[in-house]
Amino acid sequence: MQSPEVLNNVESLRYLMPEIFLSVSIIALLLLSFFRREGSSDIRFFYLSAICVITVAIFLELFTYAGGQAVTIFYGMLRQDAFSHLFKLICLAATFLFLVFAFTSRETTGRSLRSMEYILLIMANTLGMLFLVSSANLLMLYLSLELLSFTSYILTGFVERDDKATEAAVKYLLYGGIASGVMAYGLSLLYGITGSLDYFVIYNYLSSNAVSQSLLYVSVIFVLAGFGYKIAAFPFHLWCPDVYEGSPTPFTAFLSVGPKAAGIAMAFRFFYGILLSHEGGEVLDISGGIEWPILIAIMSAFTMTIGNLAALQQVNMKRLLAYSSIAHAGYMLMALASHTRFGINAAFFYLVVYLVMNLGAFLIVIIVYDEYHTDTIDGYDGLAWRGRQGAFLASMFTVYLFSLTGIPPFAGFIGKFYLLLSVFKQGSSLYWLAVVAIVNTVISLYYYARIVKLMFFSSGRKGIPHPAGGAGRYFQYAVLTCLTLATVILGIYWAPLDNFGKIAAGFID
Amino acid sequence: MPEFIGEHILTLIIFIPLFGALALLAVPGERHEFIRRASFAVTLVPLVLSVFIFMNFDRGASGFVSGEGLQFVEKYSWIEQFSMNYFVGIDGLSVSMVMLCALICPVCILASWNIDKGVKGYFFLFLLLETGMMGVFCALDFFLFFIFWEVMLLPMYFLIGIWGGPRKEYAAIKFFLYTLVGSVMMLLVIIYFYLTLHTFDMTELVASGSSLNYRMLCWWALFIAFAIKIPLFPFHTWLPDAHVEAPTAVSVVLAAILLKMGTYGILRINYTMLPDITLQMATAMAVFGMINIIYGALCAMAQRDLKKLVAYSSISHMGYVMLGMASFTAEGLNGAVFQMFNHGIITAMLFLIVGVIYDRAHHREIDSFGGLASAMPNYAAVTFLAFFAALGLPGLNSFISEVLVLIGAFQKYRLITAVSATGVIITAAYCLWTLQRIFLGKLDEKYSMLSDMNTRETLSLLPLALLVVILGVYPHPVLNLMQSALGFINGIILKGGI
Repeated sequence: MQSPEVLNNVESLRYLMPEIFLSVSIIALLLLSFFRREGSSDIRFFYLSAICVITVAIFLELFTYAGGQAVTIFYGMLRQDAFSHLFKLICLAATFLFLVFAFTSRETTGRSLRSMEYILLIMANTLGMLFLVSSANLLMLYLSLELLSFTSYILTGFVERDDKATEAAVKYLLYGGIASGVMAYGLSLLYGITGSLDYFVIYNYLSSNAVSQSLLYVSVIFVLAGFGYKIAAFPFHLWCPDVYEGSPTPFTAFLSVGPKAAGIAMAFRFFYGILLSHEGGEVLDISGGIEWPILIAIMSAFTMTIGNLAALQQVNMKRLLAYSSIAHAGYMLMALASHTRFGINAAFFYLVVYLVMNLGAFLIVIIVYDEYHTDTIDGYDGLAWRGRQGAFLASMFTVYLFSLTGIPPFAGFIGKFYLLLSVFKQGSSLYWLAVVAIVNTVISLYYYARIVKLMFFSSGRKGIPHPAGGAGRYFQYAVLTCLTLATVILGIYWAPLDNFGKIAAGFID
Repeated sequence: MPEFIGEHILTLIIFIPLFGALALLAVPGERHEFIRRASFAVTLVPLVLSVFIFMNFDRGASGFVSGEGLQFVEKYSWIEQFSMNYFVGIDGLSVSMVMLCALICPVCILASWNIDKGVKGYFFLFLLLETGMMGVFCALDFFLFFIFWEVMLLPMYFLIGIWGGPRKEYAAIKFFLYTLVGSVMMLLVIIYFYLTLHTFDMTELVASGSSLNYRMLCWWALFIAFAIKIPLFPFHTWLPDAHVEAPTAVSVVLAAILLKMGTYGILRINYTMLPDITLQMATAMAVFGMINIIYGALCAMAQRDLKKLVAYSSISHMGYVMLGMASFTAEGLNGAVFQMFNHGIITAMLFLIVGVIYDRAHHREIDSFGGLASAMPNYAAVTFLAFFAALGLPGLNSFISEVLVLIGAFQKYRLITAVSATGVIITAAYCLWTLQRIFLGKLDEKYSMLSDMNTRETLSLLPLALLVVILGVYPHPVLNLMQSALGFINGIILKGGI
């Protein structure tokens, strides 16, 4: 990592347009909401304006991205480079799709979630993700992580007088509190060792000075706790199924992608930025043999195995997808464990693909919940034979599920191929991890295919009416079709996405 | 136009079924008859094109380079970052498989005429399946090969699972899981090859594996991946389940084409990419072949369900292919690939025959039939022909391939071949016994009303029956296709390099 240009506060502002715009919009919408009357037309207005704000933020992000060079702003607090722009775009896309889902879902618009604050909190949550992705300072890292976490706690428990949601929120808060406390301790240890909060200074210190191995090891483990909790990795995953089940489905969808992307990005920045040297294109561990990649590899193996084994026995679709998302976090950790340059490319690629297919799967869950008021897996029995809409939903769901399994020609396969490739590139020390991932793929087929089997192979229970709503769903169907097309196209021709991944990997130069 | 077809013939063969399938989606689902006819028409196109290939295939060319052994080659860059190419072409090994596939698919469409649940979905998946199968046989890029290999899985899973018999769900997921285990092992090897040799191009991978570590491990991973598909003895249990539950046409495709992919894969990949290990493992392969022949035949003899009997007979017949392949003699290899072709035709006939009787009697219990020859004379004639072909009667096609296999194998493995040859006797026993139980003896009253084969059924069986007889008398046209390519592959093995 070369010493980047360090900008002062005023100069920095123009590199922070999306974040500034988002903050201003949040405040403006908050002010507007004071004048809000009780009524459903208002909430539509707020949803639409939030969607517009996010859209503008995406364009601003693209604009600043196109602006060029990597810069470190606010005296080294944030780093804006291709890596952060691309991961920020993933986070913004997740928020955008969340708002679209929530806007069209009867579950959210029909229940007590019609309040304005819900939307504002989501936008604040997004802001937290944006800062997290570009943090280049331990303090900034911690602050943005907390911004992200606190808004998530509130959002989870937002449904009034709902036991499940309240339970989920409390669990989330307790786990989160402990994890972030542990992480703060780890960060302070790191500060104690190196005397700085700035990634670049820490990196320089570690590469030129011998430090206490055990202290560094302890601080790395503690930091892992905070970040493992954010992406729901073993052994910090226990909150995940309850929270996913208790939250409104669109928010579950968002949780499974947005914060995960931000968490992965933060982990890459931290581990690749501090503990790896990359002189002359070669990636080397400078931690002095504390074997943190092995630690992450073990974490990855356990995460995917436990996620998949637990998913086998689920009866609730949201819980199943929660465990499946734990398993996918495990897959993504492979890229981090590989500590190769290609690992960044692989993680970025997988996250994009995962965003598309996982949100697609959740959109199906949302629609099925709206139509049939069920989110148990049994509720999908014979879905394919319930008229044309049922057949459409079941086919789309099949694409997402097989893509999540990692079967060609769907994008999920290419994503998994990238992850395996990154592990193989590290050499024979991590071959075992590839084998674990492969075994997990086979296990995961069993529960994904179980859903497909239920939808297609049984002709369905009697007495379930065909979906009534035809009109008004077209928009959701259009979104579904787009996501499916993306899943298939990225599975067949993915060269453009690979280029972006390569650019993202440039942040370590 | 003819030029365009000539230059892109393999692409057309692979993707016309896919476009047909997509076009089918636009047809209203209630127009069953139109959907059936349209899909039949679509599958005829690859058949016609494969006749064109048969006419223009250069039989003398050998080698594994575009323009020499490989013909009708098309190569376009696909993903530059990984130097993946859309690279298709056929040599003497794959040309017979492509022709087999092109022939079997229209036959299967004819055999699926009586499907009336989810007609559109059924034919959509069937055409998709044809794309996958053709792709596997034509692909010369390892990654492309893998994609097609997997693409084939999904339609098969649905075809068994939706239109299958009572235990369809179990059979479908078992088939899927078994094959997926094999293919993920293959995927690891593909990645390993790519990272050490930096290419997915099969023509470059030929015999370049000698620099690799873990060669034995790679060989076994690939071998097991293909062995599951063949299926060889310890990995075979998915096959009887899948066959019994699958609808007739799907059984036909499964036995006639999908099983061949296993042996094709071993010949194409294990043999050419890791020749030294292949030579070391020759005896193991021969033993696998022997076990399959004897075990499959004995199991077939014990079956009461006619379809299960045919399924086990497939396992037995694929054993000959394995045995012939393991001999590394010209006779053995030619016999093996010819046996692949012949078995494809004979087993297709057998499953169609099972389908005919099942449609009428609604069960397949061999013991409860008897004397059917008087009620269904034409049907009896075709069935006798098919079973005689299966047991290797001289004058019918599989006699030639089995004899070639045994001659080839005997030169290398005296004992194994001698034991395997007893399989011929067991096969004859169960075939004749089955014929006797079904067609001879006293006709049961309740079957006296069974109608003979209708036009559609005759039409689907007739071309296959003709081929059985013609190739039995004059096998030259097919043997001629493969000779030089197999000589080349054999050369790689025996010389340990090109």
